[in-house]
Amino acid sequence: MIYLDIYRSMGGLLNQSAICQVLMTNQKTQRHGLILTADEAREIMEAGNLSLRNYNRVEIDIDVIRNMILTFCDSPYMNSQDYASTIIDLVDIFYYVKNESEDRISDNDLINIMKDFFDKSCRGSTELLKNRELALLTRILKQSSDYYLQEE
Amino acid sequence: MNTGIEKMTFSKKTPIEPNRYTLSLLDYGSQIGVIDQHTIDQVQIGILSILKGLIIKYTQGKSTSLKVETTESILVSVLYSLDARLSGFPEPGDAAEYLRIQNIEYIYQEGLELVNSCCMATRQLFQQIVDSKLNISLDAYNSTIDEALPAFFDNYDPIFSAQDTITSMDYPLLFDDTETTGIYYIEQYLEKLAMENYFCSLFPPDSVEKLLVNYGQIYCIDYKETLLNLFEVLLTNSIFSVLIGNKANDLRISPHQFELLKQKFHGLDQTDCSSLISQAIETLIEELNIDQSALSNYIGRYPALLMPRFCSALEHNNLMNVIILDSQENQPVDIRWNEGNIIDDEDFRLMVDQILECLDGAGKAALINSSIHSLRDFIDVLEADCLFDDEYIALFKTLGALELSILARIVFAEELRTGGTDYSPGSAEEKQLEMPWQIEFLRYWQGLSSEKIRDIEYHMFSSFPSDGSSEF
Repeated sequence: MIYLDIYRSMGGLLNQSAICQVLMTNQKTQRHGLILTADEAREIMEAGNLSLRNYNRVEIDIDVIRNMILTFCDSPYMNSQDYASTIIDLVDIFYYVKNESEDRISDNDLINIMKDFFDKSCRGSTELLKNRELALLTRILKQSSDYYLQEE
Repeated sequence: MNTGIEKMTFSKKTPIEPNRYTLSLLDYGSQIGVIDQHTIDQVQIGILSILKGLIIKYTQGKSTSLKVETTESILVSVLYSLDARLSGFPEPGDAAEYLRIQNIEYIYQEGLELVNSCCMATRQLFQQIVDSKLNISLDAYNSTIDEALPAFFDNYDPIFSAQDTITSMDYPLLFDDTETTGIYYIEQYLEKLAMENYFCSLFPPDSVEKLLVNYGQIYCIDYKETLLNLFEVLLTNSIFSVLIGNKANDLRISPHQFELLKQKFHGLDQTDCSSLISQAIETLIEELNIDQSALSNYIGRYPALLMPRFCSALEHNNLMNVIILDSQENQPVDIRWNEGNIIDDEDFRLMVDQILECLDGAGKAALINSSIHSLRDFIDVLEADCLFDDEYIALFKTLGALELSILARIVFAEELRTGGTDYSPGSAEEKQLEMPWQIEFLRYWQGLSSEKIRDIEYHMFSSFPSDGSSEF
């Protein structure tokens, strides 16, 4: 079976290219005082891969990580000290919810909802985001008939 | 210059698996050094690119990730189309060369077109089968054509799940290829079903139905609910019908003809038996004017399946399980139970009360035998909790071999169905018998002499008269 982890299967080229794309987000985030180093970008990529493995998912792009960074960079609860680790947590929560909701929500919708909860009711707490707000959202989504995937 | 592919050395014994052709070609080609790493990398990158496009299509662009199982299923679907194209080359070497020089996306599109074409052609074939469907009361046959196959065509998806054969097609073919998947499985299934249907249509419908009734009686089952292959049942009787001098489309074999058949095979070794059967098949093909070579070849594969069963039955004097005798031709039998004489509920309750009042087994047996005249009532009495321990044995002792054979068919139904005349009665624990009368019957059976058992078995493996007296 051909290896399905797109990050791994495309080898170092994609990794390097992906890291560059993550680093390019600095152009927008630096105005909020948020800058990732190359090591942190690599760390985010590796953590993202680990989340995918943990949740048994396959990713074909780095859009989720890029969009997560670009959406959350203006949050009042983001700070430069734990910027990378917060992004890692958010990416992990994102894939967790995708799985738990049985893919009943699109990537962009989920990122935007996460941002809304994070900034408002969760006040920057990723624990509350995952265990309270998104747990409820997941339950609602599983009961929903509005389902964009054909099967599963 | 290194072209990436040396002259291919795939031999005739090349272990290319037909049902995972592309991966197997890459695996083996790289093992023997005729497909280089660059080609493998290009193929892998190409497949992942196709996969990426399909995931976006699958999620309608709303997600860039999917569960591994879903992704794998789409990947297998991609490989299914690639296999469709690459396995079309006469030699694996040609396929490997094509992989090297041609863009994988292009090969995929070619394969997908082949799968789509096969799907259209198979739909047409299915319509022909629907139009020429046999009028027989076999549930599995009817539900496969009326429900399962239409559901398959409604749901089949060549892009995202080309390999799926999810359907409840219960009707078994004589020679099915269960290794194949997706539309190619359905294609081979329908091609064979069309041949089988044509063959079955060469026999008079009423004699087909009659043969099935006799088949059900032999195995003590409701043939309508049985997963039997009609083609095999008809072909078998037709072969032996020819051997006894009947016309090929005459399915009736009388007990007298059956004895003649036994004599015909008596003392012959396996080669001689096989030769006789092969000759009969040739005659049958000629008499039935079968001019389709595919059908002739299909029938020609049957002796390999029939011979072990036939030889075993011949050796154990159990041919009655292979050849279905015509029940009307059976000798008249004397049976005390007649379906027309069922006691009404009130009288039945009174009789059970009388049985319970009776204190000894012999008395109970006499009462039952004088009052009961149908098998249904007899079984009801056995299950009415009015007999205990040895009282069952006392009753069984009063029954003749024919009546005992009917009870034996009930108690050993599963063993007879699976083992035929080679059935083994087993123990009560093994059989997980629950009814006390069945446990006692088994105990009674185990105490019988081999001569008595042979006598009963004679009736067990004979067809019953068709007056319904054996049914309840």
